[in-house]
Amino acid sequence: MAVVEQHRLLGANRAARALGVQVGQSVATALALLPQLVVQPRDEARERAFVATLALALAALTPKLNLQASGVLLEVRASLRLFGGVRCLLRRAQAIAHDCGAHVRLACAPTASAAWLLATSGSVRRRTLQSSHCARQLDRIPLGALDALLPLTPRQTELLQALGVQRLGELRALPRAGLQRRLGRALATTLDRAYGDASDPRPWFAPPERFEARRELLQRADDAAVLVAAIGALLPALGGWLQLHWHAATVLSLRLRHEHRREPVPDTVLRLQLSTPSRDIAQLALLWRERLQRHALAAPVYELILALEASVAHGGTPGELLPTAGGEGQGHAALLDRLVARLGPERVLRFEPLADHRPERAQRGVPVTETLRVPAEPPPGAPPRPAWLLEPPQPLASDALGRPLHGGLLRLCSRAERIEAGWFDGGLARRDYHVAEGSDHRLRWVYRERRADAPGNQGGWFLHGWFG
Amino acid sequence: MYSINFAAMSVLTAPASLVAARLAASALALARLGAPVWRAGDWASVGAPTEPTGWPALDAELPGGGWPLAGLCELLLPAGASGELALLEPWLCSLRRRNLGSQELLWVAPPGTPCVSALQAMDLALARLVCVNPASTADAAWAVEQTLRSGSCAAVLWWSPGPSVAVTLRRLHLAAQAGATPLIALRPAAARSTSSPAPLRLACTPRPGRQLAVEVFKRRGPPMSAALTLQLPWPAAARRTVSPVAPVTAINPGSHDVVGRPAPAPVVAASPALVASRA
Repeated sequence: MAVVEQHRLLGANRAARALGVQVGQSVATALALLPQLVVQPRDEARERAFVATLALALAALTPKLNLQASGVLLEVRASLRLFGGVRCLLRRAQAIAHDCGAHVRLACAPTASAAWLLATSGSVRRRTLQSSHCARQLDRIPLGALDALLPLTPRQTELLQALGVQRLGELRALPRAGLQRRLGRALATTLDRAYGDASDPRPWFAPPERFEARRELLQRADDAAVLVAAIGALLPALGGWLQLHWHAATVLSLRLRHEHRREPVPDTVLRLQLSTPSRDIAQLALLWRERLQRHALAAPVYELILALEASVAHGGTPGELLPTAGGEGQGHAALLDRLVARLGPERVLRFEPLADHRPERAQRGVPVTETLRVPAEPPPGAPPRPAWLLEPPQPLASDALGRPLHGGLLRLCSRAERIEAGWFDGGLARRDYHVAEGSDHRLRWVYRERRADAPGNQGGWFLHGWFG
Repeated sequence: MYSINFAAMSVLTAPASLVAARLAASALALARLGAPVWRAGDWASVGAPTEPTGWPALDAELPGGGWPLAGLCELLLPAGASGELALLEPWLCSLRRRNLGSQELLWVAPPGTPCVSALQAMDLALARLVCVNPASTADAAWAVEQTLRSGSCAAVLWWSPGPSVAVTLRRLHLAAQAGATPLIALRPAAARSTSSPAPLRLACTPRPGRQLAVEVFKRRGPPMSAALTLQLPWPAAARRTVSPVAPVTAINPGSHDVVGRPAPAPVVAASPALVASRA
């Protein structure tokens, strides 16, 4: 795979380079060398969007970020102690970039310009913390690398060549007054900023108000595993966004854009509702994996868009030495989220009572992600109810004498409890309920329908529940 | 087991005095080995804590005197809703009190929709009960395992209608031990003939008159001599019968208890076999 601009290869991945493709070749040469090469035109808008996504992900390390055309600058002085030193911090930055699917070149230096020069110039040693060491490193950088900070005009380049200046150190050694007069003030200032002789104010990256990240897949995905991997690359950015805003996610949505076949396929929108707000990337990744494995794709997917629909302010959780009840509660909430993500919200329920005499309408299943209304105390002396209800009631056969049968003759052990309700909402129920024991000695809750038209006429028997 | 076989073999060939001497010698050798050897006739020391079942007769038959608070325990039933909830109810309520209501109960694949009024009458906190109805047995086993591993629930009850693979049960048993959560698997009676990693297995059979015969056929202790019979509580309005086999001839459609009205004098026109007595 290679990226092309103006018929020249701008970059190629490792597999292509191993087969002889080189950066700078013309497209025709590269295709002659490697006919199966996938060529993508350069898209600067997408590059910018990707840098912004990467910046959001790296916001987990520091809130002070500065975007460049092809990279991100991080001011990490305040974060060094939190993350355990510069080595740990760099390792973590590398891991985050890797999770985002980026191949990055990391450099660190006392000034932003120096770090940027070290990262872009391709120098071997890119980590320096002392200004004297940093200055020595900068001195060795070839002049061409200055393009990353300040593009030189052809006249300037010509002049510098005539002077025989090839490296930054030689340029800096020239008399300052002459330098400013012949090459302009901007170049001198840039040089001063890189060496730390002048202040270097930069605008900080302002995160967007709404989080939305998109990722186009290189190949059409018809498998959940590919989508899970693609989401995994978007989640670090979500984590950084939540951290920058001091928020925790409650509702996430994922829009899957399908490849059109003969007729257009509408986008699929999946929602993930969390029972407790969370900022934990690993947990969110797990939930999305379960959710996507449950979902059957209508058509192959070429792009996915992850958006944060709702979030709440969240100050973060303090670390604790010993496990406490609070931590256990979080573990339980995570468990319920996991169950809901895989099984669906309609299959993981709590129950709450409703005010109705009809047993099937006297309660309601509530998904665990919703809060349960505190149930009232049961009225004293309530008539017996079975532990399990059948939905819907199961019709029973009856013998010649009108007695109910269910695997043998049922013996009624209680007098009738009449329930007559529902004339007001069209669901009229006129029933006589009994506790009945069957030939297998299990207790059932059966009722006999009473017909409305003829009071003496009895309807059929129904099994409505079991006493557990 | 090995030594008993050895002794039995020697019975065929050796005179009685010699057999007795050898038995005594093997017993002495076992006694010398001390604590690491568990004799099948003794109660094993239970490492995990237990919680009384609420049925003193059953407590006496269980190692540790109650349901274990970690690990798998099997209840075999001829069908769902055979009285298992009435059997477990005192234990579930005591678990709730023990955990001060902080931990939830998880019921996986129950045989019907739980009835809120019945649960309230049982003193189970509704807000602390989560019911999971998975579409497949694999999903159910997954849900159970996740719950056990998280260790954040007070107990898990799993109605497993089909035959379960021993590997699955073993996995769940280990998960239950790791998460220190009790798992009660309610399985069909046919599972009795198959092997299971559960250290405690009970067979429950409903008997006439709201009784439940409980046989602990696998436990870390001596084999049980006869099944226990427990009298389960009757539903409040159901009447206990004098003779359990007397058939009901007919029910007069006029005899019914209207909700809220005090019950009329007994035996208006109902069957003479019914006696008005409340639990």
